[in-house]
Amino acid sequence: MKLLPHVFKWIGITIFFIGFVFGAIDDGRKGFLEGYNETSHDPVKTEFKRILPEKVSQIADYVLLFGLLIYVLSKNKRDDEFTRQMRYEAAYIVFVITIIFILILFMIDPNLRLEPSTFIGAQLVLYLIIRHFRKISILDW
Amino acid sequence: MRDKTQEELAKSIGVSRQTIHAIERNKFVPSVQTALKLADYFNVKVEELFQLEENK
Repeated sequence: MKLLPHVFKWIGITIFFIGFVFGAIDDGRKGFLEGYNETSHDPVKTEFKRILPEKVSQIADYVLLFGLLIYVLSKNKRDDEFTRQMRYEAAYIVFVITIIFILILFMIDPNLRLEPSTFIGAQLVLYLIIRHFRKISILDW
Repeated sequence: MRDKTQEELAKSIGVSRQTIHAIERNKFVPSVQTALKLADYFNVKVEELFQLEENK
């Protein structure tokens, strides 16, 4: 299933972060402001104004997922039992955190719906962070 | 034991240097296959390299 050479791992993650950042510029701010307006007691609501055209945010979602696809289809530089275990552990922790996170969100707002690209993007970022810190803690680097 | 770097050892038995480092630090239990390769590399029995912990 790992069809692409290792160098595509970096290409994929770069494309992913470009999409992630461009998507977050407006959609991230919008989500934050909506949350703020809902919880704020201030009768004057803060109005959301786009910085980038809406099309950019839509394209950013595609770019993000395309980068993610390249990332997961690329071969790893090192692939042995230890690195596989590290990946498995990081993915498992992300899975558990995701379930807990969604449970908490649904307790706060049962009608809340998450955008798939935001959701999967956040999962990959979390996975990379956890894997990095697991590696540091095990190898004591 | 042979005077080899982690890199050389890792290359000889087909694992990453990180794996050797984690095994040396007792943070990772290798598979039977890797344990046998290590024993073969150092020309010793597997039991001389790995033992069960007393409380297990």
